[in-house]
Amino acid sequence: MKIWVILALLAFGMALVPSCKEKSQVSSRVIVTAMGIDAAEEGYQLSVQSVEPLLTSGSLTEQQENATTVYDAQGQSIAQALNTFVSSTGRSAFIMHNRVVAVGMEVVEERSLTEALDYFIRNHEGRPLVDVVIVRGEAAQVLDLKSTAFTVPAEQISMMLKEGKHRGIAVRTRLLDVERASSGMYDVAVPVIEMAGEGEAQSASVAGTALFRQGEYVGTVTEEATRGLLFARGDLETCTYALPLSEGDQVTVEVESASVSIEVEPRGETARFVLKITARGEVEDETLAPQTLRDRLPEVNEALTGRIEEEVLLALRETIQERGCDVVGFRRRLMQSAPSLIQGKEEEWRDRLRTCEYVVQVDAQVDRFGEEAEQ
Amino acid sequence: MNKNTRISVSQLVCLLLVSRMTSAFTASPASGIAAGGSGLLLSALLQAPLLLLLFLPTWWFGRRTNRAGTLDYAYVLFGKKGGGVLAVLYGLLCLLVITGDLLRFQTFVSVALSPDMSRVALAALLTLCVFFAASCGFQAIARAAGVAAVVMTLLLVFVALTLLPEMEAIHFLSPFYEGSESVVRGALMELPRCLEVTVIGLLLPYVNGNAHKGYAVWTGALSALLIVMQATVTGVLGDFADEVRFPFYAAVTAADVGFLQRMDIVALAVWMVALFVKMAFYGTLYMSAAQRLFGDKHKPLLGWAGGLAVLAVGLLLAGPVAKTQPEVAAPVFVLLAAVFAVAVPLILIAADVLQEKRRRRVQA
Repeated sequence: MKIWVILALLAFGMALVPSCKEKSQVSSRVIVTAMGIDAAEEGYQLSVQSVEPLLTSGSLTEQQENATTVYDAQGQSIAQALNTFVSSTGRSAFIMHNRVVAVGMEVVEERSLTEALDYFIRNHEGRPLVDVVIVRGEAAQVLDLKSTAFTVPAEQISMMLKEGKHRGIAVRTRLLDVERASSGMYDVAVPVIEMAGEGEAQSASVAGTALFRQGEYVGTVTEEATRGLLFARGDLETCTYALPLSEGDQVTVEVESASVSIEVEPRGETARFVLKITARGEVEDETLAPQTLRDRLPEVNEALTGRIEEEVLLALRETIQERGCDVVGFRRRLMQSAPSLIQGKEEEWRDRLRTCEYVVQVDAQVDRFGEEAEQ
Repeated sequence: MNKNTRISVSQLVCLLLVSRMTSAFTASPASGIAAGGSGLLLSALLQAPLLLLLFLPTWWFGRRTNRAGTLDYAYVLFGKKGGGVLAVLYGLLCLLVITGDLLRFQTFVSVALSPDMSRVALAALLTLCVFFAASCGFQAIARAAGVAAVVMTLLLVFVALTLLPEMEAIHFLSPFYEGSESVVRGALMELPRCLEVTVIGLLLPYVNGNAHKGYAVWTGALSALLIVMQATVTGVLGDFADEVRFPFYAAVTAADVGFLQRMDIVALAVWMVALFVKMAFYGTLYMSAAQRLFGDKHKPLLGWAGGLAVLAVGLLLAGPVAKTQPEVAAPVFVLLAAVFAVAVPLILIAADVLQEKRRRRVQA
């Protein structure tokens, strides 16, 4: 008897397995690889870059050319625009494989970032690790990017951001970061991308970092400030500096590792934040004689220290001091280190952070290529 | 349950662990409590002594009666009528827990998974499987719980390790940031999720070895796993955990492990198995209480009746419950814990003491 019951249950369960029931879904779905959000007269213009599963033969790695198509749809909200997309194409959007959400600059200038991304935050199908970028101009352009190296252009954007962060020229912001920031813990900084050229010569590049204060766009900072921000947040992996030395000489230094510790010192009703940055690097090109370079390493260290200090101070000035944008999370650090100072006044401290003192102490040490730093 | 049906202490620990961790997987945040989840780390630790405290009446009862079951002893002390009342109460308690889990399952499926699925068909299938498994016996479920507990523990640790790159130290505040009372409040809010303490009295005679020790081990293991779970949630989501319905699931979706990619599918599969084991565990206890009341010959009928009742109530309440916060139900669970973990053993002890005095007086 039990065996028959088990068999009946298994048969019933099998009937619910999607592959048996929903095989038609492959043709009735577009597999979204990137989404672009632009401002429309009423609401949003949504661009959907997607892989056509039935038009691709074999795996994506075997494709010779761009395997994606870009669709457009309009709606008063993202969800409505997606509905328009479904009704106009007769197919639904499968967003689990989405890699990038690109938001047009005009959108964030008019609305909050959280509002623009709300659909993706709430949708459990999407990945929280999807890249978020702001596009100078129209987001749709990024989705239409002609890529010779990637069959899915979204991968190129994703790779560009990954490499950009690795090389110290871009912050990398995922949907998860926007979600975290929406809770008010800290503010979010999003990489900005701009397009250049047309047709086959079209290319995309990182053009600074967009800053948001409580989800509202407050401005964009340059590559130098972005690097300073990466140092301040302890996110910097590597970066390269061409450092001028005395007597008209120059060396190129690659920072190979960096770390930061932030100390909080209460000062009455305000606080002093001391950012202690440690950086280790190597001289990349040696135009100087080896012995000369060895003798001049202290000068190289000093030049690197000065440059990092300058960039971090620039980042702090342009984010927290001028725009009140807490992208480093100073308020949170205050809650950790001096809770009595901020308890009950958390909101008040958003503005109070502007008047706090920020001190940057850099310990930079550079080696010659293949030699260890002097301890 | 058959008197010869016995499980080991480790199986008891696994059963209790699987049962409690199933609730933890889909637990909604105790809003505004304990500094973005950091305080809940301490609350999880505090749960262990509170659970031990709550176990004291049952422990005392077990010691006094040489580990008799509360229901069995109620029949001895109060006869068929008094024992029958307790059997009805225990039966209803178990059906309530199963219904609660069915509701949780439906809410989770409709909110976090594909809302296109037929909720009714899934609920019916789950209930059918649960009551079928419940009829297979206590030992079978305890063995399944052993496997589920190991897989669940491994998954929790694995998920925590894979999410390490996504965790931020800045998310952790002092547990006392919102005052020590928030830590205690957090523990008290979490405590009603541990309804295992209400049925432990039923299990005492069916455990080979020291069940009291097993319970103590469970509280320790539970605290450790809850801390790992809470640390993962806080590290990944920070204060955002307060704004999502299922924080642990939301954190798991951020795991991206090589070729496995998204870990939420694996976590879901394990949760489904654990939920099934938990519901079947309470199903067995319901069957045992019902058989005590109506006798062995009605076993299949009792199973069907229980299953249909759970399914009917579960489907009926699915809509309203999905719209409310689970904290609304907390007072009900506090009441249940007070009745079954405290009042029932204490009443049985008091009745036993009185009977013994009466017996001595008669003898004298």
